[in-house]
Amino acid sequence: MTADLPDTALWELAGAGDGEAFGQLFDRHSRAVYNHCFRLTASWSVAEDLTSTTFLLAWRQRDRLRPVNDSLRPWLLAVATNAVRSHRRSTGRRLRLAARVPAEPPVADHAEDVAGRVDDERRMAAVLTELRRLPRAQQEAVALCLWSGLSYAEAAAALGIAEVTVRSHISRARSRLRAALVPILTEEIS
Amino acid sequence: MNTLPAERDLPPAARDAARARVVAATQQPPAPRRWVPVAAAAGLLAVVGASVAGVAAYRSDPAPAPAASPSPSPSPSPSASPTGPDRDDLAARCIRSSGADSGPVEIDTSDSRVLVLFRDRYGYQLEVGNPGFAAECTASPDGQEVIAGGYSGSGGPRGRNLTYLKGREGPIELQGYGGVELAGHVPLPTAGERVVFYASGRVSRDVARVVITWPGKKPVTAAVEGPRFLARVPGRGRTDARQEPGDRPDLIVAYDAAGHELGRTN
Repeated sequence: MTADLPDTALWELAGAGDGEAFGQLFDRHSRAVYNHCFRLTASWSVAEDLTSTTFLLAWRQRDRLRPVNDSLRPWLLAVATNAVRSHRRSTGRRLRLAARVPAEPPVADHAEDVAGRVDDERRMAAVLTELRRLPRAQQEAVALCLWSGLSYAEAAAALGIAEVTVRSHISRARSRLRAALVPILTEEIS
Repeated sequence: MNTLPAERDLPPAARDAARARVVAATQQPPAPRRWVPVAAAAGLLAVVGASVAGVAAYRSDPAPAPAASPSPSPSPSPSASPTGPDRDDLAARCIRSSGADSGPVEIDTSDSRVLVLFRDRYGYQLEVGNPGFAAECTASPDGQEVIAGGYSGSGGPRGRNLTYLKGREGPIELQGYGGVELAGHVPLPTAGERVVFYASGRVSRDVARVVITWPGKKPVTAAVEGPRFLARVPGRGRTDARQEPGDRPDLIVAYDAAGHELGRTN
């Protein structure tokens, strides 16, 4: 029944206490948020945690909601971007400590899905290494527009910046990434 | 190897759990947004002594020094306000966010508490710790969102590894500074970073007030609780990709209760 409603209508229902309406929004956008978080962390398990964190943050910050063309997705991806950054900040110290702890020996697992996820993470980590050489604003523009498919206008609205600024970030990122990532990102940045 | 990894679905179990969690969140009463007027909170400074009494147990130089002298800038308020965030709750959230109690190295975070709390219009900056552990966090104005900037500690016996609470020579010592993101601002309100630069350290028992000046900023009166001081100023983060430490203060001056300068560091 509510499945046909636009995001903003579901959001209003959720705000009125309809938990299932918020569940519908989760169903609608959790996959995009999950994959967006993965691209920013190179970890599927961290992306799982950050997906629920994103929706919880979105709910807590609901008075700052900025729907774009009746869609919550741009705003949710911006919230997810911020959640990733907070996560990175809080775990940075832990990761430095972890680096001093001998790594566990790799455990063989022949499950195809597990192997695929590990391969995903390895590839994504290589991409992120290059991406993080860019200014943060350019990183966010790349993640939102080139990887998660937002239009420049949607990303601009979600980030609260001018569309021309997003275009500028993308343009600069493209020129800087092209040399480094052609073998990896040919399709995404061409 | 020439494209990004393909999109995947959330694993069903994780998806169901996350969905249940977020749906449940909509059924909870909204967290009240509590902005404590600075003047009101400042009037409660006298109460702070009681709330930080536990910190005295960690001090090697007792007798916390209350802030009393006039301030050259709007005064931050160590929070003991009944309408402000609960300090124990802030401490618990800070520890949780730091990951110190769940990381690969076992850190003893028991008996940790808020050591010093600085408040401004953007929320709170706080240090949480015990004699063997310390974490630095930012909190949103309502105290509901707390983000750790990092922690110190090790798996060794408590009190052996950190000296930050122990007395040292001199009235004041800068022990930490950096640039951290604000909690409670989602999504980013403007282009670039919304960050605060913070500075913290230790003071001797006769220091009543600490004033910190960052490059290009007005002086800020720090929160002083027990042996610790802490303050921050809003700023704009660097735009390069590297995570460099925030700006170091130009000058930190310590005063006694009568307003006499006791020492400075720069």
